[in-house]
Amino acid sequence: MTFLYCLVHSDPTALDGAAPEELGFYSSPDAADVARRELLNRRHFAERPDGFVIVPFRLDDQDEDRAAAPVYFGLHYDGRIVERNKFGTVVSDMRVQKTLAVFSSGIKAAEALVLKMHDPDWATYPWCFSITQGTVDHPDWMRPPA
Amino acid sequence: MPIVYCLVHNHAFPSGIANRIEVGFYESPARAEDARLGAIKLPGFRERPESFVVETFRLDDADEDGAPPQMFFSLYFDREIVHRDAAGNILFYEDIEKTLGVYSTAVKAAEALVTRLREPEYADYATCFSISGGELNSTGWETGYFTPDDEERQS
Repeated sequence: MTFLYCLVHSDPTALDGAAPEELGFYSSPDAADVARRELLNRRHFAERPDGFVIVPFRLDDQDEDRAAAPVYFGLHYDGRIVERNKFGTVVSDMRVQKTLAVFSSGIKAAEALVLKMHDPDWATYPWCFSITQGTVDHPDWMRPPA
Repeated sequence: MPIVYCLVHNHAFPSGIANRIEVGFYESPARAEDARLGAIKLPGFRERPESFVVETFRLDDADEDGAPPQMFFSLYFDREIVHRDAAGNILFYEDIEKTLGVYSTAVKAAEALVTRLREPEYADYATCFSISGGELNSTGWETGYFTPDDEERQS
């Protein structure tokens, strides 16, 4: 199966419970680690060198093996997620800003959005979803300023 | 068939920048007109009263009869095109903004997004879509809006 690896940085000391930063999707854990080491040259990350994790995403949520395309599409969520216990009492209310899954085409990402909209836990705020697009191993932060 | 009416303020500024504001979605043209008469008194709108239009949408693209539901979900498209000369210098920005459809459920709006992405016109622009929603007959932009020029004039 094909995986992409997302480099994520969290700063638990950030104010307002800032969501973890996604710092690009990579074709291998090694490529993500190269990016991590490069980011350690920046003060923001150097102050929290232990805040990095690499999160694997199964491309298209399928088992087949194939090379990852250079372009990926993410299904992104930016909103709140409220969790309740069996009595309906809110047990957590978190701001979430993250990629939920990655796909090889925009249509596949949109089809995943349809499935999410069938789930009442996600469908309350459809405007919190967006489809993002990026280049594997070449996140925006690596590009020189225009 | 249920039709909804969207009151839009669509103004093209002399700079070339177009500003599209969807004031609200309504169950009848009369409701949309009431909303226009209210909005036209507000800053931003009152300086550009000629820029209101009412767009009509067939809910769910369906022919069934019935009253529109109180909640609606719309599929919105917003793409910025950068026009450049042969040397690559930016000439101007063009913004394509439009509501492509109005639906009774979020599922139907998401399914419409999949359908649109199968069309050549939209296939390469998956990131330009969003689903928004709201209550029918509810008017937004209650304090109007300001452009940088408006703010300069006021100060």
